[in-house]
Amino acid sequence: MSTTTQPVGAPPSPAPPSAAPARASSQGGRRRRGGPGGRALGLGVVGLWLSLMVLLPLAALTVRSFDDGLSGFWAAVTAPAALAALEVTLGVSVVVALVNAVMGTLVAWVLVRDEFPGQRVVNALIDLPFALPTIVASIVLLSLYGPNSPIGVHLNATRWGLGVALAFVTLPFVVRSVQPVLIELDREVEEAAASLGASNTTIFRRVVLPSLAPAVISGTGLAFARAVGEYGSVVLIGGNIPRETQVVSQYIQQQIEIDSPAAAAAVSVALLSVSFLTLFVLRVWATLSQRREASTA
Amino acid sequence: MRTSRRATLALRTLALVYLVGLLAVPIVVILWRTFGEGLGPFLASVRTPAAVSALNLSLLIVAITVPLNVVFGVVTAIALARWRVPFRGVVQAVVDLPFAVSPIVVGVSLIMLWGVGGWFGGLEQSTGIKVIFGLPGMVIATVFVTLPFVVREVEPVLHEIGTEQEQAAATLGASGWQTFWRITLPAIRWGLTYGVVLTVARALGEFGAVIMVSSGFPGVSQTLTLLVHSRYIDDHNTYGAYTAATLLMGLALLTLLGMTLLDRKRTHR
Repeated sequence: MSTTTQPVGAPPSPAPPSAAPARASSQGGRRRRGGPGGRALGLGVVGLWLSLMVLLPLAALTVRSFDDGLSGFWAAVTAPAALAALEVTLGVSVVVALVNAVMGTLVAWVLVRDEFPGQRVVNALIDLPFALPTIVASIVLLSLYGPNSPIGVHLNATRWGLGVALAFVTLPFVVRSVQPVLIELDREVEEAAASLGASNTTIFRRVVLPSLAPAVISGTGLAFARAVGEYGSVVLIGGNIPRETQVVSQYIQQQIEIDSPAAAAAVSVALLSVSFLTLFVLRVWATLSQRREASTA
Repeated sequence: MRTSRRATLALRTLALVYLVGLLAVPIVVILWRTFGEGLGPFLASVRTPAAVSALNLSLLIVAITVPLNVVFGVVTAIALARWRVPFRGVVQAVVDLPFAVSPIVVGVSLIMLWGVGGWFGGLEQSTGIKVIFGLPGMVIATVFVTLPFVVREVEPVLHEIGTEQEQAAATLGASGWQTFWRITLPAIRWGLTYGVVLTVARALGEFGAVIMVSSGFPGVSQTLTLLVHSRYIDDHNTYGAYTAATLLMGLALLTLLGMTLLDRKRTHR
Protein backbone atom coordinates (compact mmCIF):
# COMPACT_ATOMS: atom_id res chain seq x y z
CA MET A 1 0.00 0.00 0.00
CA SER A 2 1.17 3.46 -0.73
CA THR A 3 -0.77 5.08 2.09
CA THR A 4 2.23 5.23 4.38
CA THR A 5 3.39 8.68 5.26
CA GLN A 6 6.99 9.18 4.36
CA PRO A 7 8.70 12.03 6.16
CA VAL A 8 10.37 14.58 3.93
CA GLY A 9 13.96 13.71 3.30
CA ALA A 10 13.69 10.33 4.98
CA PRO A 11 15.72 7.50 3.50
CA PRO A 12 13.72 5.39 1.07
CA SER A 13 11.95 2.42 2.57
CA PRO A 14 13.92 -0.81 2.36
CA ALA A 15 13.57 -2.81 -0.81
CA PRO A 16 11.10 -5.67 -0.66
CA PRO A 17 12.77 -8.89 0.44
CA SER A 18 14.11 -10.90 -2.44
CA ALA A 19 12.47 -14.13 -3.44
CA ALA A 20 15.51 -16.23 -2.60
CA PRO A 21 15.25 -16.33 1.20
CA ALA A 22 11.50 -16.84 0.86
CA ARG A 23 12.05 -19.98 -1.14
CA ALA A 24 14.61 -21.23 1.34
CA SER A 25 12.29 -20.54 4.24
CA SER A 26 9.42 -22.45 2.70
CA GLN A 27 11.73 -25.45 2.60
CA GLY A 28 12.46 -25.17 6.30
CA GLY A 29 8.83 -24.48 7.06
CA ARG A 30 7.77 -27.75 5.55
CA ARG A 31 9.74 -29.65 8.13
CA ARG A 32 8.41 -27.51 10.91
CA ARG A 33 4.74 -27.06 11.33
CA GLY A 34 2.33 -29.90 12.03
CA GLY A 35 1.79 -32.79 9.70
CA PRO A 36 0.88 -32.59 6.06
CA GLY A 37 -2.72 -32.92 7.25
CA GLY A 38 -2.73 -29.60 9.08
CA ARG A 39 -1.14 -27.84 6.16
CA ALA A 40 -3.62 -29.32 3.70
CA LEU A 41 -6.41 -28.09 5.96
CA GLY A 42 -4.86 -24.61 6.03
CA LEU A 43 -4.53 -24.52 2.26
CA GLY A 44 -8.11 -25.71 1.94
CA VAL A 45 -9.31 -22.92 4.21
CA VAL A 46 -7.36 -20.31 2.21
CA GLY A 47 -8.68 -21.67 -1.08
CA LEU A 48 -12.24 -21.74 0.16
CA TRP A 49 -12.02 -18.23 1.65
CA LEU A 50 -10.57 -16.63 -1.47
CA SER A 51 -12.99 -18.51 -3.73
CA LEU A 52 -16.08 -17.65 -1.72
CA MET A 53 -15.17 -14.02 -1.13
CA VAL A 54 -13.47 -12.99 -4.38
CA LEU A 55 -13.57 -15.56 -7.15
CA LEU A 56 -17.17 -16.78 -7.00
CA PRO A 57 -18.75 -13.30 -7.07
CA LEU A 58 -16.60 -12.29 -10.05
CA ALA A 59 -17.30 -15.63 -11.76
CA ALA A 60 -21.03 -15.19 -11.23
CA LEU A 61 -20.76 -11.66 -12.63
CA THR A 62 -18.92 -12.84 -15.75
CA VAL A 63 -21.18 -15.82 -16.43
CA ARG A 64 -24.38 -13.89 -15.87
CA SER A 65 -23.26 -11.05 -18.12
CA PHE A 66 -23.85 -13.58 -20.92
CA ASP A 67 -27.36 -14.46 -19.68
CA ASP A 68 -28.77 -13.16 -22.94
CA GLY A 69 -26.04 -14.71 -25.04
CA LEU A 70 -23.08 -13.10 -26.74
CA SER A 71 -25.34 -10.80 -28.74
CA GLY A 72 -27.11 -9.72 -25.54
CA PHE A 73 -23.74 -8.91 -23.97
CA TRP A 74 -22.68 -6.92 -27.00
CA ALA A 75 -26.02 -5.08 -27.18
CA ALA A 76 -25.77 -4.12 -23.49
CA VAL A 77 -22.22 -2.80 -23.80
CA THR A 78 -22.87 -0.91 -27.05
CA ALA A 79 -26.19 0.63 -25.99
CA PRO A 80 -25.90 4.37 -26.74
CA ALA A 81 -26.23 5.40 -23.08
CA ALA A 82 -23.64 2.80 -22.02
CA LEU A 83 -21.21 3.95 -24.69
CA ALA A 84 -21.79 7.57 -23.70
CA ALA A 85 -21.06 6.73 -20.04
CA LEU A 86 -17.91 4.86 -21.06
CA GLU A 87 -16.83 7.82 -23.18
CA VAL A 88 -17.38 10.34 -20.35
CA THR A 89 -15.56 8.09 -17.88
CA LEU A 90 -12.57 7.37 -20.07
CA GLY A 91 -12.32 10.97 -21.30
CA VAL A 92 -12.38 12.56 -17.85
CA SER A 93 -10.11 9.83 -16.42
CA VAL A 94 -7.48 10.39 -19.11
CA VAL A 95 -7.48 14.14 -18.49
CA VAL A 96 -7.31 13.63 -14.71
CA ALA A 97 -4.47 11.12 -15.11
CA LEU A 98 -2.51 13.62 -17.22
CA VAL A 99 -3.16 16.46 -14.74
CA ASN A 100 -1.91 14.09 -12.04
CA ALA A 101 1.21 13.27 -14.05
CA VAL A 102 2.17 16.97 -14.25
CA MET A 103 0.90 18.32 -10.92
CA GLY A 104 1.84 15.17 -8.99
CA THR A 105 5.42 15.37 -10.24
CA LEU A 106 5.50 19.08 -9.47
CA VAL A 107 4.20 18.55 -5.94
CA ALA A 108 6.71 15.74 -5.35
CA TRP A 109 9.49 17.99 -6.65
CA VAL A 110 8.51 20.85 -4.34
CA LEU A 111 8.26 18.47 -1.36
CA VAL A 112 11.73 17.01 -1.99
CA ARG A 113 13.84 19.80 -3.51
CA ASP A 114 12.31 22.86 -1.91
CA GLU A 115 12.30 23.88 1.72
CA PHE A 116 9.66 26.07 3.31
CA PRO A 117 7.88 26.40 6.64
CA GLY A 118 4.95 24.01 7.01
CA GLN A 119 6.39 21.52 4.54
CA ARG A 120 5.76 18.58 6.87
CA VAL A 121 2.11 19.52 7.19
CA VAL A 122 1.78 19.73 3.41
CA ASN A 123 3.46 16.35 3.11
CA ALA A 124 1.03 14.79 5.58
CA LEU A 125 -1.90 16.40 3.77
CA ILE A 126 -1.09 14.41 0.61
CA ASP A 127 -2.33 11.16 2.18
CA LEU A 128 -5.66 12.67 3.17
CA PRO A 129 -7.56 11.59 0.02
CA PHE A 130 -6.62 7.96 0.73
CA ALA A 131 -7.78 8.19 4.33
CA LEU A 132 -10.99 10.09 3.62
CA PRO A 133 -14.11 8.07 2.72
CA THR A 134 -15.07 8.79 -0.89
CA ILE A 135 -18.52 10.11 0.01
CA VAL A 136 -16.86 12.58 2.37
CA ALA A 137 -14.63 13.70 -0.50
CA SER A 138 -17.78 14.35 -2.48
CA ILE A 139 -19.38 16.42 0.29
CA VAL A 140 -16.15 18.28 1.02
CA LEU A 141 -15.80 19.37 -2.60
CA LEU A 142 -19.49 20.27 -2.82
CA SER A 143 -19.15 22.58 0.15
CA LEU A 144 -16.67 24.66 -1.84
CA TYR A 145 -17.63 24.08 -5.46
CA GLY A 146 -21.31 23.15 -5.04
CA PRO A 147 -24.59 25.06 -5.28
CA ASN A 148 -23.87 27.20 -2.17
CA SER A 149 -20.29 27.92 -3.16
CA PRO A 150 -18.86 30.69 -0.98
CA ILE A 151 -16.50 31.69 -3.82
CA GLY A 152 -19.14 31.56 -6.57
CA VAL A 153 -17.65 28.63 -8.45
CA HIS A 154 -20.38 26.16 -9.41
CA LEU A 155 -19.01 22.88 -10.71
CA ASN A 156 -22.02 20.86 -9.63
CA ALA A 157 -23.25 18.48 -12.37
CA THR A 158 -20.51 19.44 -14.83
CA ARG A 159 -17.58 17.49 -16.22
CA TRP A 160 -15.36 19.96 -14.38
CA GLY A 161 -16.96 18.74 -11.18
CA LEU A 162 -16.19 15.13 -12.16
CA GLY A 163 -12.62 16.11 -12.90
CA VAL A 164 -12.11 17.88 -9.58
CA ALA A 165 -13.58 14.92 -7.65
CA LEU A 166 -11.37 12.42 -9.48
CA ALA A 167 -8.29 14.64 -9.14
CA PHE A 168 -8.97 14.79 -5.40
CA VAL A 169 -9.17 11.02 -4.83
CA THR A 170 -6.24 10.18 -7.13
CA LEU A 171 -3.87 12.92 -5.90
CA PRO A 172 -1.58 10.67 -3.79
CA PHE A 173 -0.73 8.14 -6.52
CA VAL A 174 1.81 10.11 -8.58
CA VAL A 175 3.17 12.14 -5.64
CA ARG A 176 3.84 9.04 -3.55
CA SER A 177 5.40 7.08 -6.39
CA VAL A 178 7.67 9.91 -7.60
CA GLN A 179 8.77 11.21 -4.17
CA PRO A 180 11.01 8.26 -3.14
CA VAL A 181 12.68 8.17 -6.57
CA LEU A 182 13.37 11.89 -6.38
CA ILE A 183 14.89 11.51 -2.90
CA GLU A 184 17.18 8.78 -4.16
CA LEU A 185 18.17 10.58 -7.36
CA ASP A 186 21.90 11.15 -7.67
CA ARG A 187 22.34 14.91 -7.83
CA GLU A 188 25.97 14.68 -8.91
CA VAL A 189 24.87 13.78 -12.42
CA GLU A 190 22.81 16.96 -12.55
CA GLU A 191 25.74 19.00 -11.29
CA ALA A 192 28.05 17.40 -13.84
CA ALA A 193 25.60 18.27 -16.60
CA ALA A 194 25.39 21.85 -15.30
CA SER A 195 29.16 22.21 -15.16
CA LEU A 196 29.29 21.07 -18.78
CA GLY A 197 27.05 24.01 -19.60
CA ALA A 198 23.64 22.34 -19.86
CA SER A 199 20.67 24.59 -19.15
CA ASN A 200 18.09 23.70 -16.52
CA THR A 201 15.59 22.73 -19.21
CA THR A 202 18.10 20.38 -20.78
CA ILE A 203 19.07 18.88 -17.43
CA PHE A 204 15.46 18.29 -16.52
CA ARG A 205 14.63 16.78 -19.91
CA ARG A 206 17.76 14.67 -20.38
CA VAL A 207 18.78 13.76 -16.82
CA VAL A 208 15.93 14.11 -14.32
CA LEU A 209 12.92 13.16 -16.40
CA PRO A 210 14.29 9.83 -17.70
CA SER A 211 14.91 8.67 -14.11
CA LEU A 212 11.50 9.82 -12.93
CA ALA A 213 9.56 8.53 -15.94
CA PRO A 214 8.89 4.97 -14.67
CA ALA A 215 7.51 6.30 -11.36
CA VAL A 216 5.44 8.99 -13.10
CA ILE A 217 3.98 6.48 -15.54
CA SER A 218 3.15 3.88 -12.91
CA GLY A 219 1.55 6.50 -10.65
CA THR A 220 -0.43 7.90 -13.57
CA GLY A 221 -1.60 4.42 -14.57
CA LEU A 222 -2.75 3.62 -11.03
CA ALA A 223 -4.57 6.95 -10.88
CA PHE A 224 -6.29 6.19 -14.18
CA ALA A 225 -7.33 2.70 -13.03
CA ARG A 226 -8.75 4.18 -9.86
CA ALA A 227 -10.55 6.97 -11.72
CA VAL A 228 -12.42 4.76 -14.20
CA GLY A 229 -14.06 2.75 -11.40
CA GLU A 230 -14.68 5.61 -9.00
CA TYR A 231 -18.18 6.06 -7.63
CA GLY A 232 -18.46 7.57 -4.15
CA SER A 233 -16.62 10.79 -4.82
CA VAL A 234 -18.49 11.63 -8.04
CA VAL A 235 -21.97 10.54 -6.95
CA LEU A 236 -22.95 13.87 -5.41
CA ILE A 237 -20.95 16.37 -7.43
CA GLY A 238 -21.30 14.64 -10.81
CA GLY A 239 -25.04 15.07 -11.15
CA ASN A 240 -25.57 11.71 -12.94
CA ILE A 241 -26.86 13.36 -16.13
CA PRO A 242 -26.99 10.67 -18.86
CA ARG A 243 -24.64 11.40 -21.78
CA GLU A 244 -23.29 14.45 -19.95
CA THR A 245 -21.81 13.57 -16.58
CA GLN A 246 -23.01 10.02 -15.94
CA VAL A 247 -19.97 7.80 -15.37
CA VAL A 248 -19.93 4.06 -15.99
CA SER A 249 -20.36 3.09 -12.36
CA GLN A 250 -23.46 5.28 -12.11
CA TYR A 251 -24.82 3.77 -15.33
CA ILE A 252 -24.31 0.26 -13.89
CA GLN A 253 -26.12 1.21 -10.71
CA GLN A 254 -28.98 2.58 -12.80
CA GLN A 255 -29.24 -0.72 -14.69
CA ILE A 256 -29.62 -2.57 -11.36
CA GLU A 257 -32.27 -0.09 -10.26
CA ILE A 258 -34.34 -0.51 -13.44
CA ASP A 259 -33.99 -4.27 -12.99
CA SER A 260 -31.83 -5.24 -15.94
CA PRO A 261 -29.13 -7.18 -14.11
CA ALA A 262 -27.72 -8.78 -17.26
CA ALA A 263 -26.96 -5.35 -18.74
CA ALA A 264 -25.45 -4.22 -15.41
CA ALA A 265 -23.27 -7.33 -15.38
CA ALA A 266 -22.19 -6.88 -18.99
CA VAL A 267 -21.14 -3.25 -18.53
CA SER A 268 -19.44 -4.24 -15.24
CA VAL A 269 -17.38 -6.81 -17.14
CA ALA A 270 -16.44 -4.13 -19.68
CA LEU A 271 -15.37 -1.76 -16.90
CA LEU A 272 -13.42 -4.53 -15.15
CA SER A 273 -11.62 -5.29 -18.42
CA VAL A 274 -10.50 -1.67 -18.71
CA SER A 275 -9.03 -1.65 -15.17
CA PHE A 276 -7.44 -5.09 -15.54
CA LEU A 277 -5.95 -4.20 -18.91
CA THR A 278 -4.48 -0.97 -17.48
CA LEU A 279 -2.92 -2.77 -14.52
CA PHE A 280 -1.72 -5.64 -16.71
CA VAL A 281 -0.01 -3.30 -19.18
CA LEU A 282 1.60 -1.44 -16.27
CA ARG A 283 2.95 -4.67 -14.77
CA VAL A 284 4.31 -5.99 -18.06
CA TRP A 285 5.87 -2.62 -18.83
CA ALA A 286 7.47 -2.45 -15.36
CA THR A 287 8.94 -5.94 -15.76
CA LEU A 288 10.28 -5.10 -19.21
CA SER A 289 11.89 -1.83 -18.13
CA GLN A 290 13.43 -3.52 -15.09
CA ARG A 291 14.92 -6.16 -17.36
CA ARG A 292 16.21 -3.50 -19.74
CA GLU A 293 17.81 -1.66 -16.82
CA ALA A 294 19.42 -4.87 -15.60
CA SER A 295 20.87 -5.62 -19.02
CA THR A 296 22.33 -2.12 -19.47
CA ALA A 297 23.71 -1.92 -15.94
CA MET B 1 19.96 20.99 -10.80
CA ARG B 2 19.90 24.44 -9.23
CA THR B 3 16.83 26.47 -9.95
CA SER B 4 16.87 30.23 -9.60
CA ARG B 5 15.12 31.83 -6.67
CA ARG B 6 12.32 32.99 -8.91
CA ALA B 7 11.77 29.59 -10.47
CA THR B 8 11.77 27.93 -7.04
CA LEU B 9 9.17 30.35 -5.78
CA ALA B 10 7.05 29.91 -8.89
CA LEU B 11 7.07 26.11 -8.60
CA ARG B 12 6.33 26.26 -4.90
CA THR B 13 3.43 28.65 -5.43
CA LEU B 14 1.97 26.54 -8.22
CA ALA B 15 2.11 23.35 -6.15
CA LEU B 16 0.69 25.00 -3.06
CA VAL B 17 -2.13 26.71 -4.95
CA TYR B 18 -3.11 23.32 -6.43
CA LEU B 19 -3.08 21.61 -3.03
CA VAL B 20 -4.83 24.46 -1.26
CA GLY B 21 -7.59 24.64 -3.88
CA LEU B 22 -8.06 20.90 -4.06
CA LEU B 23 -7.55 19.84 -0.44
CA ALA B 24 -7.16 22.55 2.15
CA VAL B 25 -9.87 25.08 1.29
CA PRO B 26 -12.67 22.52 0.79
CA ILE B 27 -11.87 20.99 4.18
CA VAL B 28 -11.75 24.35 5.91
CA VAL B 29 -15.08 25.29 4.30
CA ILE B 30 -16.80 22.09 5.43
CA LEU B 31 -15.46 22.52 8.98
CA TRP B 32 -16.67 26.11 8.97
CA ARG B 33 -20.10 25.02 7.70
CA THR B 34 -20.26 22.28 10.33
CA PHE B 35 -19.14 24.24 13.36
CA GLY B 36 -20.11 27.72 12.19
CA GLU B 37 -23.28 27.59 14.27
CA GLY B 38 -21.49 26.23 17.28
CA LEU B 39 -20.98 22.83 18.81
CA GLY B 40 -24.59 22.42 19.95
CA PRO B 41 -26.26 22.06 16.53
CA PHE B 42 -23.44 19.75 15.44
CA LEU B 43 -23.94 17.43 18.41
CA ALA B 44 -27.72 17.49 17.94
CA SER B 45 -27.28 16.59 14.29
CA VAL B 46 -25.01 13.61 14.92
CA ARG B 47 -27.12 12.39 17.84
CA THR B 48 -30.40 11.90 15.99
CA PRO B 49 -31.70 8.32 16.25
CA ALA B 50 -30.88 7.70 12.57
CA ALA B 51 -27.31 8.98 13.02
CA VAL B 52 -26.71 6.94 16.17
CA SER B 53 -28.00 3.79 14.53
CA ALA B 54 -25.86 4.50 11.45
CA LEU B 55 -22.76 4.83 13.62
CA ASN B 56 -23.68 1.61 15.44
CA LEU B 57 -24.21 -0.26 12.18
CA SER B 58 -20.88 0.97 10.80
CA LEU B 59 -19.12 -0.15 13.97
CA LEU B 60 -20.93 -3.50 13.92
CA ILE B 61 -19.77 -4.12 10.35
CA VAL B 62 -16.22 -3.20 11.37
CA ALA B 63 -16.47 -5.52 14.39
CA ILE B 64 -17.43 -8.47 12.16
CA THR B 65 -15.08 -7.65 9.27
CA VAL B 66 -11.89 -7.19 11.28
CA PRO B 67 -11.79 -10.64 13.00
CA LEU B 68 -12.63 -12.37 9.71
CA ASN B 69 -9.85 -10.52 7.92
CA VAL B 70 -7.37 -11.14 10.75
CA VAL B 71 -7.95 -14.89 10.94
CA PHE B 72 -8.18 -15.63 7.23
CA GLY B 73 -5.68 -12.93 6.28
CA VAL B 74 -3.00 -14.31 8.62
CA VAL B 75 -3.59 -17.89 7.43
CA THR B 76 -3.37 -16.70 3.81
CA ALA B 77 -0.18 -14.75 4.53
CA ILE B 78 1.42 -17.75 6.27
CA ALA B 79 0.41 -20.02 3.40
CA LEU B 80 1.94 -17.62 0.84
CA ALA B 81 5.12 -17.01 2.84
CA ARG B 82 5.80 -20.44 4.31
CA TRP B 83 4.01 -23.24 2.53
CA ARG B 84 4.25 -24.71 -0.90
CA VAL B 85 1.15 -23.21 -2.52
CA PRO B 86 0.02 -24.59 -5.88
CA PHE B 87 -0.49 -21.80 -8.45
CA ARG B 88 1.17 -19.26 -6.14
CA GLY B 89 1.13 -16.55 -8.79
CA VAL B 90 -2.60 -16.96 -9.31
CA VAL B 91 -3.28 -16.89 -5.56
CA GLN B 92 -1.21 -13.69 -5.23
CA ALA B 93 -3.20 -12.09 -8.06
CA VAL B 94 -6.51 -13.14 -6.46
CA VAL B 95 -5.47 -11.51 -3.18
CA ASP B 96 -4.77 -8.23 -5.01
CA LEU B 97 -7.90 -8.44 -7.15
CA PRO B 98 -10.21 -6.45 -4.81
CA PHE B 99 -7.96 -3.37 -5.20
CA ALA B 100 -8.65 -3.34 -8.94
CA VAL B 101 -12.42 -3.78 -8.83
CA SER B 102 -14.73 -0.75 -8.82
CA PRO B 103 -16.93 -0.67 -5.68
CA ILE B 104 -20.07 -0.69 -7.83
CA VAL B 105 -18.84 -3.78 -9.66
CA VAL B 106 -18.27 -5.43 -6.27
CA GLY B 107 -21.91 -4.75 -5.44
CA VAL B 108 -23.17 -6.08 -8.78
CA SER B 109 -21.03 -9.23 -8.43
CA LEU B 110 -22.46 -9.93 -4.98
CA ILE B 111 -26.00 -9.44 -6.30
CA MET B 112 -25.22 -11.88 -9.13
CA LEU B 113 -23.99 -14.46 -6.60
CA TRP B 114 -26.20 -13.99 -3.53
CA GLY B 115 -29.21 -12.07 -4.85
CA VAL B 116 -32.59 -13.39 -5.96
CA GLY B 117 -31.95 -15.46 -9.08
CA GLY B 118 -28.22 -15.58 -8.27
CA TRP B 119 -26.08 -18.71 -8.00
CA PHE B 120 -26.66 -18.87 -4.23
CA GLY B 121 -30.07 -17.18 -4.43
CA GLY B 122 -31.74 -20.36 -3.17
CA LEU B 123 -30.14 -19.85 0.25
CA GLU B 124 -32.57 -17.07 1.06
CA GLN B 125 -35.61 -19.20 0.20
CA SER B 126 -34.41 -22.27 2.08
CA THR B 127 -32.98 -20.64 5.21
CA GLY B 128 -34.64 -17.24 5.28
CA ILE B 129 -31.27 -15.50 5.66
CA LYS B 130 -31.38 -12.29 3.66
CA VAL B 131 -27.89 -11.71 2.28
CA ILE B 132 -28.50 -8.97 -0.27
CA PHE B 133 -30.41 -6.07 1.35
CA GLY B 134 -29.41 -7.46 4.73
CA LEU B 135 -26.50 -7.24 7.14
CA PRO B 136 -24.66 -10.30 5.69
CA GLY B 137 -24.47 -8.63 2.28
CA MET B 138 -23.03 -5.44 3.74
CA VAL B 139 -20.45 -7.45 5.69
CA ILE B 140 -19.50 -9.53 2.64
CA ALA B 141 -19.13 -6.37 0.54
CA THR B 142 -16.90 -4.82 3.20
CA VAL B 143 -14.81 -7.99 3.52
CA PHE B 144 -14.35 -8.04 -0.26
CA VAL B 145 -12.93 -4.51 -0.44
CA THR B 146 -10.72 -4.91 2.66
CA LEU B 147 -9.47 -8.45 2.02
CA PRO B 148 -5.98 -7.56 0.72
CA PHE B 149 -4.90 -5.29 3.60
CA VAL B 150 -3.97 -7.82 6.32
CA VAL B 151 -2.40 -10.27 3.86
CA ARG B 152 -0.34 -7.55 2.18
CA GLU B 153 0.92 -6.13 5.49
CA VAL B 154 1.72 -9.47 7.16
CA GLU B 155 3.25 -11.45 4.28
CA PRO B 156 6.34 -9.20 3.81
CA VAL B 157 7.00 -9.29 7.56
CA LEU B 158 6.94 -13.10 7.50
CA HIS B 159 9.49 -13.07 4.67
CA GLU B 160 11.64 -10.58 6.53
CA ILE B 161 11.81 -12.42 9.86
CA GLY B 162 12.70 -15.69 8.17
CA THR B 163 12.19 -19.07 9.79
CA GLU B 164 15.23 -19.44 12.04
CA GLN B 165 13.42 -18.71 15.30
CA GLU B 166 10.46 -20.84 14.30
CA GLN B 167 12.80 -23.71 13.49
CA ALA B 168 14.65 -23.27 16.76
CA ALA B 169 11.35 -23.46 18.63
CA ALA B 170 10.38 -26.58 16.74
CA THR B 171 13.78 -28.16 17.50
CA LEU B 172 13.20 -27.47 21.19
CA GLY B 173 9.96 -29.41 20.95
CA ALA B 174 7.36 -26.67 20.52
CA SER B 175 4.19 -27.68 18.74
CA GLY B 176 2.99 -25.82 15.67
CA TRP B 177 0.48 -23.84 17.74
CA GLN B 178 3.03 -22.95 20.42
CA THR B 179 5.43 -21.73 17.75
CA PHE B 180 2.70 -19.62 16.20
CA TRP B 181 1.55 -17.99 19.46
CA ARG B 182 4.99 -17.49 21.01
CA ILE B 183 7.21 -16.73 17.98
CA THR B 184 5.31 -15.88 14.82
CA LEU B 185 2.46 -13.78 16.21
CA PRO B 186 4.68 -11.47 18.34
CA ALA B 187 6.93 -10.94 15.31
CA ILE B 188 4.10 -9.95 12.98
CA ARG B 189 2.11 -7.91 15.48
CA TRP B 190 2.91 -4.42 14.14
CA GLY B 191 2.37 -5.42 10.55
CA LEU B 192 -0.88 -7.05 11.56
CA THR B 193 -1.97 -3.98 13.52
CA TYR B 194 -1.20 -1.77 10.53
CA GLY B 195 -3.27 -4.05 8.32
CA VAL B 196 -6.12 -3.88 10.83
CA VAL B 197 -6.00 -0.07 10.91
CA LEU B 198 -6.19 0.06 7.11
CA THR B 199 -9.08 -2.41 7.24
CA VAL B 200 -10.97 -0.34 9.83
CA ALA B 201 -10.50 2.86 7.83
CA ARG B 202 -11.70 1.31 4.60
CA ALA B 203 -14.58 -0.53 6.30
CA LEU B 204 -15.86 2.68 7.92
CA GLY B 205 -15.56 4.60 4.69
CA GLU B 206 -16.80 2.09 2.13
CA PHE B 207 -19.74 3.47 0.20
CA GLY B 208 -20.23 2.16 -3.35
CA ALA B 209 -20.14 -1.56 -2.61
CA VAL B 210 -22.32 -1.19 0.49
CA ILE B 211 -25.00 1.02 -1.08
CA MET B 212 -25.54 -1.63 -3.78
CA VAL B 213 -26.35 -4.39 -1.30
CA SER B 214 -28.10 -2.37 1.42
CA SER B 215 -31.80 -1.62 1.60
CA GLY B 216 -30.79 1.80 2.96
CA PHE B 217 -33.60 2.30 5.49
CA PRO B 218 -32.75 5.09 7.95
CA GLY B 219 -32.28 3.68 11.42
CA VAL B 220 -32.12 0.10 10.13
CA SER B 221 -29.68 -0.51 7.31
CA GLN B 222 -27.88 2.80 6.87
CA THR B 223 -24.19 3.02 7.61
CA LEU B 224 -22.54 6.38 8.25
CA THR B 225 -21.56 6.79 4.61
CA LEU B 226 -25.08 5.95 3.45
CA LEU B 227 -26.42 8.46 5.99
CA VAL B 228 -24.30 11.23 4.45
CA HIS B 229 -25.61 10.33 1.01
CA SER B 230 -29.27 10.07 1.97
CA ARG B 231 -29.25 13.23 4.04
CA TYR B 232 -27.90 15.15 1.06
CA ILE B 233 -29.90 13.50 -1.74
CA ASP B 234 -33.16 12.34 -0.14
CA ASP B 235 -33.67 14.71 2.78
CA HIS B 236 -32.05 17.81 1.22
CA ASN B 237 -30.53 18.21 4.67
CA THR B 238 -27.24 19.72 3.56
CA TYR B 239 -26.21 20.71 7.07
CA GLY B 240 -26.90 17.17 8.33
CA ALA B 241 -24.79 15.76 5.49
CA TYR B 242 -21.94 18.13 6.42
CA THR B 243 -22.03 17.13 10.09
CA ALA B 244 -22.15 13.39 9.35
CA ALA B 245 -19.30 13.81 6.87
CA THR B 246 -17.30 15.76 9.46
CA LEU B 247 -17.82 12.93 11.94
CA LEU B 248 -16.52 10.44 9.37
CA MET B 249 -13.64 12.77 8.57
CA GLY B 250 -12.73 12.88 12.26
CA LEU B 251 -12.60 9.09 12.33
CA ALA B 252 -10.48 9.10 9.16
CA LEU B 253 -8.05 11.63 10.63
CA LEU B 254 -7.69 9.51 13.76
CA THR B 255 -6.85 6.57 11.51
CA LEU B 256 -4.33 8.63 9.58
CA LEU B 257 -2.69 9.66 12.84
CA GLY B 258 -2.62 6.05 14.01
CA MET B 259 -1.09 4.99 10.70
CA THR B 260 1.67 7.58 10.96
CA LEU B 261 2.55 6.53 14.50
CA LEU B 262 2.37 2.81 13.67
CA ASP B 263 4.44 3.28 10.56
CA ARG B 264 7.25 4.66 12.70
CA LYS B 265 7.01 1.64 15.01
CA ARG B 266 6.82 -0.79 12.14
CA THR B 267 9.89 0.53 10.34
CA HIS B 268 11.97 0.92 13.53
CA ARG B 269 11.18 -2.55 14.73
